[in-house]
Amino acid sequence: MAVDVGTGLLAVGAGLAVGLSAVGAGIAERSIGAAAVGAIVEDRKNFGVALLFTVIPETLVIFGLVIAIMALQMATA
Amino acid sequence: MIKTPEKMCKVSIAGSKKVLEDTIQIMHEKGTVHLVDYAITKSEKEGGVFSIGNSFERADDLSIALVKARSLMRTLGVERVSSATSLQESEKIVEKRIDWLHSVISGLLERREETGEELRKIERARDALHFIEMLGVDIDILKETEELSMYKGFVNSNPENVLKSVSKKLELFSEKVGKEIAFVLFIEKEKGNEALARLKTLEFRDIEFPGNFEKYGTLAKLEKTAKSSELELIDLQKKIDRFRRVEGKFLQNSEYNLKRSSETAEAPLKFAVSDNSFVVEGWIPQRKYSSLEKTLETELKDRIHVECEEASDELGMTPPTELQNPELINSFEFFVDLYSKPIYKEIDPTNFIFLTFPLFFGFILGDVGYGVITLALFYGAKKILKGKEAHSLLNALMLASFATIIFGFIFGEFFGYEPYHPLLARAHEVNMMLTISVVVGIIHINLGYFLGMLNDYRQKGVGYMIKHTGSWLGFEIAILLVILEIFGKLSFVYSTYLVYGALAASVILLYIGHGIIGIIEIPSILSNILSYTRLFAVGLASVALAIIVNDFAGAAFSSGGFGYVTGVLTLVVGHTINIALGILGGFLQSLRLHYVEFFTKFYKGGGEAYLPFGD
Repeated sequence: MAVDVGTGLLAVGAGLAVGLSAVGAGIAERSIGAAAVGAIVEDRKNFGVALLFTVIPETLVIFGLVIAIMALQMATA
Repeated sequence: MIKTPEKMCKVSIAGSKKVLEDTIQIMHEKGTVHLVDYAITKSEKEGGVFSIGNSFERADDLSIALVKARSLMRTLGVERVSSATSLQESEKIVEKRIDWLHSVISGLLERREETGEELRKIERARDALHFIEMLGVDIDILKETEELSMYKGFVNSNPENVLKSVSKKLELFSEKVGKEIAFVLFIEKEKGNEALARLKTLEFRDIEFPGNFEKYGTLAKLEKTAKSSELELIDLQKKIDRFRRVEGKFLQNSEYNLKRSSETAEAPLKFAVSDNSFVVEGWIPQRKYSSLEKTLETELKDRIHVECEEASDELGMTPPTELQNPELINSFEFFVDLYSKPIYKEIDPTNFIFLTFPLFFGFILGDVGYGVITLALFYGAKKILKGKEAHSLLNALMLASFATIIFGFIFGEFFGYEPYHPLLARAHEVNMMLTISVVVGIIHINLGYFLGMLNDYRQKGVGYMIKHTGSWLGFEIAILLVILEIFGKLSFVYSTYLVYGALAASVILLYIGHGIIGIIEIPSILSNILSYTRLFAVGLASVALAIIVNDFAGAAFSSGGFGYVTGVLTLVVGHTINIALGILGGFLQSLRLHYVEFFTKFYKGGGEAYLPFGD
C-alpha cells in the first residue's frame, strides 16, 4: 500500500491527535479518580457526583478523536 | 411531561399525653407521615415545658427479642420478609418463645461445634494409633526418660545399621509401610543428637502425636467413638434443620411484626412532650392528609388537634421529596437518585432521562446483534439479581437495548456486518453523523436551559430567571445573530451595530447573573455542544472494532482446516470484548451527557427522601 507523504503525515497527525489527547485526559483523570474513590468510600451517596467529576476530562479524547476522523477523511479524499 | 415532586404539607399534631400511644398507632398504620425530629431550642432547654419524649417501656424487650430473632434467622438461613400476617399470640408470648428457641438452638449449635471439634481430634488420633498398632509397641512405653531419647516417624530405608554405628545401647521397632519405613527408636541421651543427624540423612519425617490421644484406647475403640460422633453430628444437623422447617415461618412473621412494634415503641423519641401533652410534626402528601385527619379525629375526638400547613418558601421549610412517575418511567428514578434527589420545588428530570438515555445508548451501540445479546443479558441478570435498585437499572438498560436494536436497523449493522444498504451508514457518512450529534447536542442543551428557566421562575421569580439561566440563552441568541450577520443574512439598517450591541448586552447580563465565572465559562457552551460528538465517535470506535474482528476471522476461515477453529474463537472473544466495551461505553457516555452537559443547565438536587413512618 503505497501512499504519498502528505497522506502519511495526515495519518500521523490523526494518531497524535488521539494519542496526546488521551494522555492529557489520563493525567487529568488520575487525581480526580483517586479523590473520587476516596469520597465514595466516605459516603456511597457521592457516587453520582464522583462519576460526574471523573469523566469530565474524557471530553478531551472525544475532541481528539473527532479531529483524527476529520484528518483521516482528508487523507481518503 | 414537566413534573415536580409530590405536593406536601406540614402536619402538626398536638394532644393529651393519654392518647400518645393511640396517635402513634394510627400514624403507623396509615404509614403516610414523614416524621421530623423535634429539635430542642436553647430557650426550651432553659426552663421550657417541652422536652424530647421517652420511648415506651416495652421498647427494650422488643429490641432484645428482635435481635435474637434476627440472629436465629441468620444461623438457620431463614430470609427476612417484607410483609407478613399479624401475630396470633401476644407480644409477650412471642418474646418468650423466641427466647426459648434461642436458648435451645444455641445449645444445639454449641453441641454441633463441640462434636465437630471432637471429630477433628479423632482424625488426628487415628494416625497416631495406627502408627503404634502397626509397630506393635505399647502406648505406655512411648515416653522419653532421663536416660533415653525417643524418635518416631518415617525414613526411606532401614535405619538399623546406621544407628548401630552410633551406639549399641538402643532399641528399635520398625515396619515397612509402602516405600517408607515406620519406626520408633529409643537411644541413650548423650547419643541422641548424633542419631538424629544420621536419621536426617535418610529423609527422616517426624510424626506428631496429638495431646491426650491415649484416651481413645485401641484403633478399634477409636473407630467406634468416631462412628457415634458422626451419628451425633448428623442427628444434631437434622434437629437444626427441623427447627428451620417448623419455626421458619414463625420467625419471619415475628421478625416483621416485632420490627414494626419496635418502631412504634421508639417513635416518641421524635416527639416533643411536656407533663401532660405532646406535639409532633411531619410531612404528608397533600392528597393523603384528609384520610389521616379524619381517622385521628373520629378515633380520638377532642383530645387531639391536627392541622396541615402548605409548604412555603418564607418559613425556610424543606419538605422531603417523593417522585411520582408511572411504572417503567420510574425505573429511571435510579439515575436521578444516583446523582441526587431533586429538592421539593425542583423539576423532576426522570421523564427526560427516560426519553433520551435509551436513545443515546442505542445511538452509540447501534447494532442489531449486539442489541439482542445485551437484551438477553440484562433480562437474565434481572432473573438472577434481587433488589429494587438492580431491577430499576436493568429495566432501564433493557429499554436501552431495544433502542440499540432499532438503531441497528437504521445503521444496517449486524455484528459489524452490513447485510443491506442502510438508511444511514455510520462508518461511511461521517460528516452526516457528526452533524446529527451536534444538532442533538444543541437541542439537548437548550432543553436544559429551558428547564433551568422554569426552575428559576418557580423558585425565585422572573428577575432571577432572566439574569441566571436567561443570560445563557440570550448569549446563544446573540451568537446566532452574529453568525448570521457574518454570512450577510441580516441586511437591514444598522444591523451590524444592533447585532454586536446584542452580543455585548448578553455578555454584560452574563456578568450580572454569574459574576466573572460567567465570562470565564463562555467557551464551555461550545465544548458542551462538541461533547455530544461522542455519540457518534464512541459508536464509530465500536463499529471499527467489530469490523476488524470480522476481518481477522474471515482471514482465518479462508485458510481452512484449523483456521475454522481460530476463526470461531476470534469471533467469540472479539465480539464479547466489544460488547463489554460497548455496554460500558454506551452506559457511561450517555449518563455523562445527562449528568455533565444536561443537568448542569437546570438541576441541583440535594433533596431528602420521603420515608413515611410505618411504611
